[in-house]
Amino acid sequence: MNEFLDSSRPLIFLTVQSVKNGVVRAVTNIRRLIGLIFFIGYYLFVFIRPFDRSPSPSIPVPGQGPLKLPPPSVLEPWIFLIFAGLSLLLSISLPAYKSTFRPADVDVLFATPVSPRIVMLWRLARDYALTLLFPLFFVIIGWRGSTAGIQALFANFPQYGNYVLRALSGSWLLLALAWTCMGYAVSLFINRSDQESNRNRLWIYVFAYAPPALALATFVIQLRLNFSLATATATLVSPWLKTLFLPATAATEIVMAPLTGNLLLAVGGGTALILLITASMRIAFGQAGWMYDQAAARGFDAVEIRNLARRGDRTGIAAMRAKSGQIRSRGLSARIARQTITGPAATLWREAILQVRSGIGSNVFFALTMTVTVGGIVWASRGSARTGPIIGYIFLGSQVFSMLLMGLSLTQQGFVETLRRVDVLKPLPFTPTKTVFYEIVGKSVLNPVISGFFSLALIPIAPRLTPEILANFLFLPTVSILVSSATFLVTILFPDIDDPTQRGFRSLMSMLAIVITVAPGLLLAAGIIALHASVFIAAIIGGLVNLGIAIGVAAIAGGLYAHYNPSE
Amino acid sequence: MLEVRGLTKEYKKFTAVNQLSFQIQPGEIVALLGPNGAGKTTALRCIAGILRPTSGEAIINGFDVVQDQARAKMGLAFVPEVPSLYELLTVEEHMKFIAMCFKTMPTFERLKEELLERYNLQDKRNALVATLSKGMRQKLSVACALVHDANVLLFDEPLIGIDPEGARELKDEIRRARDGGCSVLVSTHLLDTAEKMCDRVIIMRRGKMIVQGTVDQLRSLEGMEGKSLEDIFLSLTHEDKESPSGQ
Repeated sequence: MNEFLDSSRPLIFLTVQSVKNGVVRAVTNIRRLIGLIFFIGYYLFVFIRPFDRSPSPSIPVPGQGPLKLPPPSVLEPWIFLIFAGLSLLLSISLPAYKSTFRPADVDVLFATPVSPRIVMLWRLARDYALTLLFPLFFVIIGWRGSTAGIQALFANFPQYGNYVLRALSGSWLLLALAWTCMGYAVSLFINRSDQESNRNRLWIYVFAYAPPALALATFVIQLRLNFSLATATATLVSPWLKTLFLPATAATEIVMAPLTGNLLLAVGGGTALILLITASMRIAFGQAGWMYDQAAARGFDAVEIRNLARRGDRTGIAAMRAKSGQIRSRGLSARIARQTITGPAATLWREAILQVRSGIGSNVFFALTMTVTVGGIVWASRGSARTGPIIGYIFLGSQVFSMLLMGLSLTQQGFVETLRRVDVLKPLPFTPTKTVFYEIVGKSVLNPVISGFFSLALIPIAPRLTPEILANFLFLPTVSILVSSATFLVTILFPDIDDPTQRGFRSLMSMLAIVITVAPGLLLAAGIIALHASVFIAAIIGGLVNLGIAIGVAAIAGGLYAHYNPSE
Repeated sequence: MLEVRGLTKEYKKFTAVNQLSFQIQPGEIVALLGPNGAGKTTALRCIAGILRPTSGEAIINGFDVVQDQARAKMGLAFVPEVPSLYELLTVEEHMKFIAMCFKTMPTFERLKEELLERYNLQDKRNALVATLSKGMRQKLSVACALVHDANVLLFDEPLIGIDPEGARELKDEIRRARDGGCSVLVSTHLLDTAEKMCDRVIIMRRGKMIVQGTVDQLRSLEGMEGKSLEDIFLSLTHEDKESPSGQ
């Protein structure tokens, strides 16, 4: 114990001094002070605002009439669902390299005799604290609703409610620790520099992601057979699902014990989680020597990529990935590169190559996820008469939503890059308006193509969505162009690409500009659909409005770009 | 004393260091030379216990840096090429952090003043590392390496970014360490400095040691008679040439 405290002292000193000096530094520099005030203000707004209101009369509170507590058989599946959902979210980062080390750790700390196990213990404690906060964020955001809801839920059984809440907290403490430890055990196992790592990674992917995929597939199949809440509830308590999500099941048993009176199951659940924590910790600490190796081999790249991402340097990130062999000049990008396009349209050629090499992956994944989700809902609900036109609205809404998010992710950093490369672009023999026009079009083509490609795959499983899918081919490209124009305008209005305060402000303004510019066309199209007119008419009229606004916005942006001087 | 036996470091299918073996006796300075990408930094990081060797071992004062990490590192000081330091610590705090890690607090106060003066860091003692110039950071990194009583010193390109006065001071420091009985390994591209300062050189290419010995011993190799270390280095590391057998 003395050895542990002795070895921990430098790490405590490092943390305390860094925080102290960081705060002093922030308050003695006006620019950093503004950033700090903005940061604190934001969190005060988020955390304090929910407390600053009287309870909503629509939510029952204790003493205001009887409320029937759902029986354990109804409560259990939903508690399980919460834990399974949290487990699923935490499992996403399971195989990821824990990039929490700084280059200074590698150069300074790792060369000292402080034991890697002690360093790991501190890292683990820090990650555990962050994991614990994870659901708290949602609870605090929805504090008013959640407290009233929880009070109401146990209004008639305050003695049970108290125990259930304690059990809920206790089981989350154990579940979060289990996932944190598993994260370290798995990450250190599969991110080593040796050759066995690749094979290990494959197995871990199978073990980590096959159960949730299997569970989701079975859930959808069960709902398709009988689309009802009862089926969903029954599926959630089925033994196979409980087995697939063992940590979530163990946590649920702890919570349910005060209501079911079955303490044996709670002890069993707690024991299972403690065993899982112990085993994971053992495996993680057994690999502590690899922690330094991984951080030294990958840490610098991870930090550099994070810095580049903060600066919005997409090309820099792509260059880093290319350096490590993740991007190669072959495949689709090489085929595009072999084409020859002259004049300002060459901008489209360059943009296609760069997007295929750097930014296409996440957007393809996002579009695929949205399509699979909507497809799953459509497929599962086919037998239900209640879901009729709602499915069409869900599809249209999801497609426009994807286009906004995908467009924002592509253009926000992409146009910063356009400004960064102004020395290359401006000497080209085109007018600034033409340059801006092609830059905007170049960043608007790919997303509707990706989205349209995946939505076509829905036609065989949901033929009744065919009109909406085809109408989207008219509407989505105009949304994409509008998103690009609006983002470019905001980027040229706030062009200080290296100023961190302007970066955050620019993101907010981009979102605001997109909402303002997309709203007229979108609302018009929604209104036309609400009047039971054809979706094609809605798409054409809404699309024309979008194009009109986009041309106006692009013209303003072109004028500003003509006078843009990076050194001002 | 530093002893490296069959040290190998692989990254997937790429071998960065391949079967590296050498010894550095107390009171000896050895230069580690090689073109870019030869594996010098990787080798130093393996010896410093930062990277885990795929095979082989690095023994510091009789302790294996993997098996007996804490005891091995107690006698070791490592100065990286471009030192990444804790930006939000002051110069003095940085040195104190190192002293705490090595548990040398009883001698720290005396040594700290000495090192701050020697490396012209007195005026910067309360400055955050984030505000230091590149040269100042390099000096701080060296000062931190000397805060504890190490007898195996590893320097990765120590003279890059330091002004001439600082470079002279550092070279004197390295010689002082040698005279005090330390084993010093210096990775460098500055061949003149290596020739003047080091007792022995090791030349690496593509992860392998191609030759080691004193400069005079290298001159005795076939075709190297009367050549400078620079000429010998360029002859041995030129990609078209086959490497001669090392001594």
